Amino acid sequence: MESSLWGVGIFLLVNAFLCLYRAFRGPTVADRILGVNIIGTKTLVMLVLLAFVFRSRFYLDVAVVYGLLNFVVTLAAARFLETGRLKEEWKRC
Amino acid sequence: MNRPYLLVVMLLVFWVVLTESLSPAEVALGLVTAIVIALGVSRLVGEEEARPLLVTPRQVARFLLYMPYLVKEIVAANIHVAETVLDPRLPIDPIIIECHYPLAHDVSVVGLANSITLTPGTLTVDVDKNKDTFRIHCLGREVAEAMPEGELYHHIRHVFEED
Amino acid sequence: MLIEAILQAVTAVLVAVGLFFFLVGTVGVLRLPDFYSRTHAATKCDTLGAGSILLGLAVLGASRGDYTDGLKVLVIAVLVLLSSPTAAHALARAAFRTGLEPYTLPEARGGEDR
Repeated sequence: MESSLWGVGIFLLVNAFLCLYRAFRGPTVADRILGVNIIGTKTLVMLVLLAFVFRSRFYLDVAVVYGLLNFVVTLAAARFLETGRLKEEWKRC
Repeated sequence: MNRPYLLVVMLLVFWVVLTESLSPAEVALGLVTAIVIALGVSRLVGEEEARPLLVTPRQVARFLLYMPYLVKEIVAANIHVAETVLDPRLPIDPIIIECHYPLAHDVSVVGLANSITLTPGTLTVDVDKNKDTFRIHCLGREVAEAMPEGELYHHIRHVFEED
Repeated sequence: MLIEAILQAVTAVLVAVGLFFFLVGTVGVLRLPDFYSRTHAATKCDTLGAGSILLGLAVLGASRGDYTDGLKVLVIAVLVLLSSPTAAHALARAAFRTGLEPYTLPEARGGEDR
């Protein structure tokens, strides 16, 4: 069972590297942010996998925090792309 | 109850769920953390945006009944993407359309926008300031023509607007 | 032991489905022509892929008797279900408002060449 979980993790890692190509290649800034965001989702799943492989619950807490951080980072990057600032109201138009 | 206090309470509940402990020391630490975070967030994005969305138990119950339909639509959306992407011809014909979906509550706007994003061939791009016109990116013309009928919109109205 | 075997089979199926859709999402993100259509593939496939794998792992946790772990994994799955489309929406909106034009078919643009 454990070895197949390793296989799942490696498959996700390969996927994450393929997505990294999109983040590297662009062509727009939005594409790069999207690439980083979906790599984050794969990393989150990998952290949960690690919790099951090593039978250690701490990884689950790390995964929760990673998921929240991934979400906030994407929102902040999108807001920065849209307004050029972090500390400002969303333009209501 | 004032909105920042509500945020503190929600953060504290989340803390207790994560730490799986009710010992006074841990709860006190969580309370301090929650207050610091609530103040920080209110300062960073403004009190208006820091307030949590409120839902009634009735809305939650109706949302749970709506879940099976949503899951079915998500699976259909993924199969649709798989068919499109694995087809060597890449049969897409994207178009951005605007649909008029009047809604009364913020939570229904969030629910409808996210539901549209997760259903086959559609992606919410923008919602205007009156919160009633949705700009939707569609992967194909057939999907774009079906959107104004608003099947999802009626589901969401039933779930969150309770009519 | 039969129940354990069934639960492990359920886990295997759910994880396999999740991996397939993760792969579809990756192929979509690499193949599709513009940002908006890539966001379609990324959001839908990441939500179902992550949701399916996490559900499978929650079942695995339950078969090992770790019910609190299984519950926490479900919380993470709900978090992904809520945050993934919201993040995609914020990003698509930022792209649209900064003037990124969506890709359209050449014939839909009045027959002009690319």
